[in-house]
Amino acid sequence: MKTDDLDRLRAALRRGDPAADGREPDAGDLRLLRERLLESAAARRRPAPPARPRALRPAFAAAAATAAVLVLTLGLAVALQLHRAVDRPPGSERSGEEAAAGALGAGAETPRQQIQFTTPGGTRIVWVLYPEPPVHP
Amino acid sequence: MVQAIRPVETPRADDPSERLGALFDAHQARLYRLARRMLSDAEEARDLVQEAFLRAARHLGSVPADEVGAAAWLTRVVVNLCRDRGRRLEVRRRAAATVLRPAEAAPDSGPESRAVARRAVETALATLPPRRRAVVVLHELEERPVAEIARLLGLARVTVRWHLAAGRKDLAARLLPGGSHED
Repeated sequence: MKTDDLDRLRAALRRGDPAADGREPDAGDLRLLRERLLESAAARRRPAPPARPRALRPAFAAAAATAAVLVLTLGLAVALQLHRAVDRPPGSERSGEEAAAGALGAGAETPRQQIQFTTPGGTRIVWVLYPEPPVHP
Repeated sequence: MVQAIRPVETPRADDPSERLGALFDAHQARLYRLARRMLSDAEEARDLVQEAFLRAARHLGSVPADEVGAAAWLTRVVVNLCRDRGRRLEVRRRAAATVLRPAEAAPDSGPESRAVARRAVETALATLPPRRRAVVVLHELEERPVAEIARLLGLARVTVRWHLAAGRKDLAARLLPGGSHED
């Protein structure tokens, strides 16, 4: 580029310098900008509250749910077993004849007692109490 | 016209706020002028300078401790941000791509003539790639020597000279009477 062209280019650039439009931020704007910048930097440096690792939370929830289901299942199973055992206590099995006899009237002489209650979990427990069978010499 | 990089008051090394404040006080005016010349939009330039300092706040540890290194770091951030924003402003720039040659505008030096000249320079600068635009602005408008521009932008001197020559040629074609550039 020739020297006079370069001079003319420089003159044109300076005459139309975009930064010479007098629109520089005023002192108030600059102070505000500076304050915001420092506040933002300070906020970034503030220590965050300790948080539990997020990855562990779903694992804990799954484990808790599994444990709850297990406890409920075990509770129900135990209650059911107990219920069956009470309905037919060991040693109370009778032969077909005895059962038939009982059904015909002998059983009617030995009234049964029941205790019913409900556990806090909602399981209904029924205990049937058989009186001791009469001893026949 | 040359705005020397003002010495930064040595802030306490253990106080990031003081360091950031000192960087802002020392460099914001220079960075604003650079952004204003690069972007042709006062509001965009102000936002961009704010973004540059927010980046400095986020990565204060990577801002060089020495004055010249910090100036170069911030200059490069501004040029990179200009490049990113330039992509967004591309549509606007194309819409306003009609180049007015200042010498063909009103010959007097009144406010209207100056506004036309400014618009012509803004439009012509906007057609340069961001790095080339930064080189031209720093050399022709801020009158910084090639060696300093190379240091500020992290370029080899020969690269700066190459960008300068190409930028001048392109601008002359757009701004000088008899320029042969056609849009």
